[in-house]
Amino acid sequence: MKKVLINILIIFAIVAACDIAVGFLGNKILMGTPEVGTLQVDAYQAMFKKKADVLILGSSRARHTFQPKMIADSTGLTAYNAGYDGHGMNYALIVLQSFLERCKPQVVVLEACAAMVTDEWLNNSIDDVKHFYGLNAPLTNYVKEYGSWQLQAKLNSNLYRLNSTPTWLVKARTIPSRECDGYEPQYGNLADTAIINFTDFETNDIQVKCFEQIIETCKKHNIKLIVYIAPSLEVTAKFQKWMNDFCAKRDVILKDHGCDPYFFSNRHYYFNDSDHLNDIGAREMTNISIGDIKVLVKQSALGVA
Amino acid sequence: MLINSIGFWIFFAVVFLVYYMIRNSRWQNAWLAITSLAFYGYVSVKLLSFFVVIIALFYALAIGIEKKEHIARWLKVAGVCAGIGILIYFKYLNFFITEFSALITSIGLSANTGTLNIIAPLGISYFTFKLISYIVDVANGKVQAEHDIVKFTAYVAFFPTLMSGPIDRATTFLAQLNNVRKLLPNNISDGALRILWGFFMKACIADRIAPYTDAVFNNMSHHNASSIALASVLYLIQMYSDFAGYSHMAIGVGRLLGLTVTENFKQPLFAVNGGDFWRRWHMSLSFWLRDYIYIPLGGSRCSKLRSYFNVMVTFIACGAWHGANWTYIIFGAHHGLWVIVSRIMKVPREKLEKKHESLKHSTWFKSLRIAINFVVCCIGAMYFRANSFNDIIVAWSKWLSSDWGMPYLQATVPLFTFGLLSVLVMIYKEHQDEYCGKAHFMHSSSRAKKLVCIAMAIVFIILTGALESNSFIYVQF
Repeated sequence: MKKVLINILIIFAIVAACDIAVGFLGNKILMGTPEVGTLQVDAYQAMFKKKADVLILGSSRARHTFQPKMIADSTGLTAYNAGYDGHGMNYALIVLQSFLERCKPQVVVLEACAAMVTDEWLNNSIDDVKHFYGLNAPLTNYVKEYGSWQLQAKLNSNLYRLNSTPTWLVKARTIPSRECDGYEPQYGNLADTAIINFTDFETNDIQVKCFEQIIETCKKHNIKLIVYIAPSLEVTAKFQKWMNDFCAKRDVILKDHGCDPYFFSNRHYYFNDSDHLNDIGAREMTNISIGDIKVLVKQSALGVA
Repeated sequence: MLINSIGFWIFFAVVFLVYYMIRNSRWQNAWLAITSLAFYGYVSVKLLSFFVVIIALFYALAIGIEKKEHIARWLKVAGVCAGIGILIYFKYLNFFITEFSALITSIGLSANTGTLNIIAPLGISYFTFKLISYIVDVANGKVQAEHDIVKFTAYVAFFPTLMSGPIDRATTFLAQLNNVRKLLPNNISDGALRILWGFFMKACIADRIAPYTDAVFNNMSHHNASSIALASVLYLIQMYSDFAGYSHMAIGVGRLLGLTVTENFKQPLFAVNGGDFWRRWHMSLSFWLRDYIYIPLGGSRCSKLRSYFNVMVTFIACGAWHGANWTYIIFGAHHGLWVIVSRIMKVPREKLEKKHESLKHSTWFKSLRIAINFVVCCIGAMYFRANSFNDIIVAWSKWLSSDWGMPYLQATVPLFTFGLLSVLVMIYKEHQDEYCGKAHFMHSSSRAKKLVCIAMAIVFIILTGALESNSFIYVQF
């Protein structure tokens, strides 16, 4: 039995040494990741590097809808799209807080969809960026406040924290680097144009709390916040009603284009799939948002609350 | 509470510590029974009382068989019928209702049959098979009826094997509960290594492959023939890694508790034909089917045609055991047919080997046989995974058409890097186990090599495995 215990101790020591070495090396590689436009690298850029006057937050619907270049060209402000596929309000809050450590955006554009405020993406949002635990203060604070004890315990291990990162880190090193603004165009045309109605909608307390924190943070830093519901053929009427009530109560500007007839009437032309606009649709939607952003920037300059 | 969750290991740590503090076999059994029932209750509290009643019923039936010889036969029939009846009610009743309704509708009559709201008890397929074999063995005099209900409960409800097998026989398991289990270094190291290897198979292979196979099999009509073929190959490996991974962990946990659990797999990917495959794949089920269906039907001690019929019945039962779905029946029939074909081919193959003596020991000839068996099993895996009968038709129509091209390879970077590397490691290990004995990797005779291998395996699993899985394929059965 003594031999078994010694063996266990030796194994534990080797694993611990590997954990420290991998953590040290992993952090070095992570923080030196070149800008290549892949999803994970864009998350790194959003959480550590980018600065912008107009910050776009949300999920894949934000990422494929709002074009920072168009916004920059029309308003003269810098813009960055920090939308991330399958990520909810918790991720949006972490990105906003990370941005505030580097700069203060004038306008925050938040694209909201039903899954962002339900529990559907609650864990994904953190799991996909858990390698930045301990490196990014807002993420670390979020995990300490809302993460389960199991997650907090597991994140003490560098090996666990960096789980699966080698694959995308290797990929990032093999693609030529280029400057990115977070927008990812889609060029497909929707074949099946039927509207899908979803009836199930139940908010998640943490996601709603994070949404509230986004609103409070913007108010505290005098940042203009505008919430969009981008066009989608996946309609959750309950969510749209909830969002309208929620924003009205908190005096937040909401532009609900969820069932916009302009996009719906030419759906095969504007949509890539039932939940995402293609590049043409995205341009239309960005144009609409530019008008709103200009008004907000003007108000901001005049000191209108 | 799955075997790969933190919750399970905290639960197990408590069980383990108290278990070895007890110095009496009766109390150790009682502790196992209590914790196993608590485990069952935690996962499915509503059906705990049902589970306890079933255990009590079979306990009483077995004692009845032993004590009242004149009605023993009837009690045996009652036990078997009760076991099958439970399975039919919980697993197949809704299937029969829907199929009957469809049949009525297809002949032009109106059928207004709703389905019943039935929740199948956890591990029903496993514990009913355990209980049926126990009753039959008691009736046949292979094992004595267990008079200690605590020991009997510990056997039936043994928590590591409760959800997903292996299906332990009373003949081998109950005897182990007679003696005090002591904490032995060999049990600790062997058990821990089995658990580690199980984790590797589950996290680094099965769960790395799952996103790909899910993407293809859940949208079969959107994928071309090569994607479906690749997904079928991967699904066989996934199914094996998932189930064998679970079995390794269950066997390892049993070993840590000083108990030997039945082996479930023996390098099935190196099988050379259908019969060989089923002597290596899900062995606790295939041997159960052999002993309680195939042999009672007459086995192979009858005419060839009759023995083929027996094979088909056994394998269709094997398919049906997995669940009430035509895809499982087809899976069973496919393997039954393959076993029959393998038997038919035996004579010409042996003639050929006699004619060309070198073929008998030829690596290439054996590899060819392994490859053919592997392809047939991949087709079987496709039947197993297909969501519906229609999907099977879609797969075959694509395979027979000219819809071959580049397979779908998107979003599969972790699979085709670390996942593939893990598959190669697994195949290498299985190859070594099959042909070279166990003196490699974590079983190396060199202590330093062994410890480094174990540590590296742990590092590799944590760094590259899919660690957030919350399901096992065979838990659903």
